[in-house]
Amino acid sequence: MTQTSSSMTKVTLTPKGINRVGSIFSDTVSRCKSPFILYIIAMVIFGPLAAIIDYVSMMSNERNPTSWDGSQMLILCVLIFLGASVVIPMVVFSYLDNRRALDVFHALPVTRGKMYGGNLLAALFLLYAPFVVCVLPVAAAIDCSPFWLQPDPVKRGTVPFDFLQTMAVVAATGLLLFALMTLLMICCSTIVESFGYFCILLLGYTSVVYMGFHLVGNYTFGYTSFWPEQFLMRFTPISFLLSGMNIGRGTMELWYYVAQVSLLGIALLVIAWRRLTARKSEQAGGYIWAPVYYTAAIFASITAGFYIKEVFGSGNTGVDVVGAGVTAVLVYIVLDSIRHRGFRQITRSVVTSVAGVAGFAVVALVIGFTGTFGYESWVPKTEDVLAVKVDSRGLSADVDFLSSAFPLYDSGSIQTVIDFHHSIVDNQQPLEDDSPQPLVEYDPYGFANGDEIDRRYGYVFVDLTYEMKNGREVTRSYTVPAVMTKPLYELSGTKAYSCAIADQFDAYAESLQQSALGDEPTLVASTAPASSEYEWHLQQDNGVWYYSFELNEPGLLYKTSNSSVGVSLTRDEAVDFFNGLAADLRRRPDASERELSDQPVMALNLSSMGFSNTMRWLYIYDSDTDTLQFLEKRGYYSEADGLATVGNNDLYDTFMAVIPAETSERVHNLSFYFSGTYFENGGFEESTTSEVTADGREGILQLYDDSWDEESGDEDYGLIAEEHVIKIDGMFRNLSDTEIEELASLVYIVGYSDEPMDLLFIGGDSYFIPEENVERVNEIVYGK
Amino acid sequence: MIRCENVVKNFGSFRALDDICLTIDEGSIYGLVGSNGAGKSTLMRCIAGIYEPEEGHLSIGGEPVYENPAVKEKILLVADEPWFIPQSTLYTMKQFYQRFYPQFDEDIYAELAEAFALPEKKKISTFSKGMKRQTAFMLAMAAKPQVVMLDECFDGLDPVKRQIVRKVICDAVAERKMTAVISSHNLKELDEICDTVGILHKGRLLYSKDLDSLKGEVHKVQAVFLKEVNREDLEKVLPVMAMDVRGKFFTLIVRGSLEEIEQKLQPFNPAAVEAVPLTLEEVFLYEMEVMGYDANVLFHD
Repeated sequence: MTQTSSSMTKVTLTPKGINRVGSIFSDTVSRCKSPFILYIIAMVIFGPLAAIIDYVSMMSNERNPTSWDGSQMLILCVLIFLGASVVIPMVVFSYLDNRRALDVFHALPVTRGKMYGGNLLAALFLLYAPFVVCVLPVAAAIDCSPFWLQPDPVKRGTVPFDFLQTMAVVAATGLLLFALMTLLMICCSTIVESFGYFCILLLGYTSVVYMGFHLVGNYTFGYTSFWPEQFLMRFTPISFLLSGMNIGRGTMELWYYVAQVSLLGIALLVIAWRRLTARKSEQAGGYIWAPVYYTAAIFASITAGFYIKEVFGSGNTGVDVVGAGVTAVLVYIVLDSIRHRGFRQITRSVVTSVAGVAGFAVVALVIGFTGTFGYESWVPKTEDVLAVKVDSRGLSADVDFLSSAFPLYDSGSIQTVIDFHHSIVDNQQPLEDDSPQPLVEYDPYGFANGDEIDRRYGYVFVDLTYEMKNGREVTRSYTVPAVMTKPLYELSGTKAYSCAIADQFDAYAESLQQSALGDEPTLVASTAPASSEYEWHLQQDNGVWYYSFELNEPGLLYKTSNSSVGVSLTRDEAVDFFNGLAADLRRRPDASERELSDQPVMALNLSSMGFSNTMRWLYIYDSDTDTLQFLEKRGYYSEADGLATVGNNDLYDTFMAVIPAETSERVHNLSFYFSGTYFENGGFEESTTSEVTADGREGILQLYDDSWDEESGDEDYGLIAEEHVIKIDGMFRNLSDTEIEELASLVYIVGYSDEPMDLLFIGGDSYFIPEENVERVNEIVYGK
Repeated sequence: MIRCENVVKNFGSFRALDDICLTIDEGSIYGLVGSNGAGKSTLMRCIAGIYEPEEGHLSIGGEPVYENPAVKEKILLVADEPWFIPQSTLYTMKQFYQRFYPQFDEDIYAELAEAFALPEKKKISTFSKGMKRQTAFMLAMAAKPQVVMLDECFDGLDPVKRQIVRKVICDAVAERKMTAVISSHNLKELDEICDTVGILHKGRLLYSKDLDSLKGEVHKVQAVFLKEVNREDLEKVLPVMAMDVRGKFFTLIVRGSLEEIEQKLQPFNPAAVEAVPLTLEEVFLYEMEVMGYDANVLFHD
């Protein structure tokens, strides 16, 4: 039997003699023992040793602990393990990058398949043995600690084995990193090159999937919760690592991740095996395998292009697209030069990359110009919509009046949102002409959020999300003038919206009842569930779990009270509280029926309850009797004195002014008026100057009128011509606690008025002044 | 025993071996010579089963080599730049070879270790170039291969160690009919040890012959002519590879048998004709000159 060429019939070979995987395994382990010993030492120090110290310390410092939370302790171990998952394949397969070593190894009487198998098993052993020995027992001990620390099974509840599950994620992530590095060691010619491509592929894939789907979501009919994105993102450990492995994820998703990542890791190892056995000659010093190179080059070029556009984007679409394209071309040329060890092929690289960018641009332009996917003009039909969710940001973090955490299913609300959407789409051109902001907030990469939008021109960032009856979710984002959002502001005061919030509280109460003691309660809200990162349930020294959240004074008083009332409730009390609050919300009248004088008595901090992604304050009114009675019964509130323990502080050297109604009418961009806080940010550019006088300090509030931008043509802040400036006299004052309380009682915190009203401007916020109180407010502010 | 039939090996667009046909008998010492980059090391790697040829057949004892552990177990390659496991000692390298070559002979190892006087517990990375080469050689020979390939094996060795290496190779060939393929630019060394020689140039095998017949085919002839003789006239009747003329004294390198050469020189009435033995180095140089690969290229105007 003779060896044949590839062009001839292949003869099946039957290897004989010494060809043991075991020989390779033991040789590889022996070769790598030095780094392995260092790895083990590190794992022992940061694993079992640290665990023992932590446990002993806990037992000596805490009285009757019921569980051992050592999860933070193993972070270093996990990081070392993940680092080892990259380094170990580099060490084990480094012989492939050394022509002399390669001669020795591939001349050995072992088939390449078994050589690979032996090396692979050895590398996996080197990687996982310390993990299994040092990390898993500690993780198991942490998870099982309630069994001996809390012998009462009722109090202990169900032990979730969270940490062990997290370790499964870590192990799977390690396998993926290991497999990718192994493949690259076989496909690349040097260790440095392998590591370079490792980073490019890992980061590039994550970026391209993330940004690509945001592009799809933003430029098309919208697929914000597009399942392929979740599916594809599970193939990269980056997002999972950044999210702390399993925090905020359900058990099923965690195991989906483990399964997907493990399968991908195995697939990469199979490809690596195929690649190694298919090579007819060794590539030490040769070029990277073309499929890996092109994949990495495309990822890197697209990512670099997107990144440049995002970070250095000028706002001019043409310039941004050209900048992104040029960046992509340059990155491709650099990678091509590295691959070919020189710049000789630069012409070819330029042609290839320019052709790629041009093709990409043509597709993008056709889509953009033809509105192929209808981002700008498409508005859903009412009958196709199951629910709407609206998020508004950009005026004030305190009063973002609508949150996507509370979906609205009633037809009236759906119609309101669709009508609002139509009012934007139908007036797109005039809105864009008048606006210094881009009307349609593309945010193609999902990097921006409402907070980044400049608020000073009176614009609001609005997210409209439609939950379609066909199961899809469609989101549109706009930056619109505050005046347009009146329908949404009204929507926030409707009975339907109150009921939507109540639904969430009911669901919250139910989840509290059903969950085991100490479990994270979950919310039904699909877009902004309570963040489990927020530890709002704690265990007291006596072993009782309690739930806490914050109450505060509303409006002006909140500004001067540096602390909140912390409400602590047992689980049963928390359930009662949420049930009562939900009942109150359902009883609330529509805001349009509420008198402007009917002002809130306190504000409930929703973010302190885990609703960290939603509006911060839920105002509580006198009419919310169940809630107030509940709080009163527990001493947190009294009808006479308000919140029990929040004290207001004196204000020192605070600038304040009264803006007359006739002036506010002229102020830029105001044609109707919300509550004071809303008004301030939505209406004008203010600046103050001060001058020291004999009896105090006087200041000037500078506003600009509604014609400044049309006439001056200036869009930069601070370039307002003098003739457009409206100057209001103000004072820098010290206010006592009593004066603050009086002032707070004279103004309105929330509300809406179609007619201009006098405003109190204080500490950067502004509040409506009822006509009958104007005189008294002037006296306090100006000392008259 | 070693048989190459139309072997072709490419690296990308570069053809390293071009249609190599070669037979090396069992128990012979084969010298592989050639210009730099001729493909000697590539051919050795193909024979060692490191590379798989793109075309052609390559077998040892009738069995294919590539991916055939049973055959590779009997082959050892000592590369021109030997590699050792980082931080290893002679002892750890011995263990490495023992793991993969069950026929590894402790006695040979001990004998060679004594002959080369290499420290067993010292790190090989601290060895000199010659010591590293001795280490690679002794490990290879201790593995008792049936085919050993030695790439530039005399490079960096002192004369005594060269003598030892030569003796070890010859003993192994004599005792167990080992086949040795030796590549070297030290043609004097090869001349002394090899019985067969192959000359490679630009991936092609120019000759593969036994050394005596190779030398018998090319002769260095010194002749003195009484009459005036033109170079051109001589070149017309004789296959002259090189000629040096100093007055009436001619030095000719001619292909063919000595009798035939003398016969063809008779018409020119030579006063004296004498054949001088050629060394392998001279044969190689003249053959390379014919292929346009000679040092004179530097002095052409």
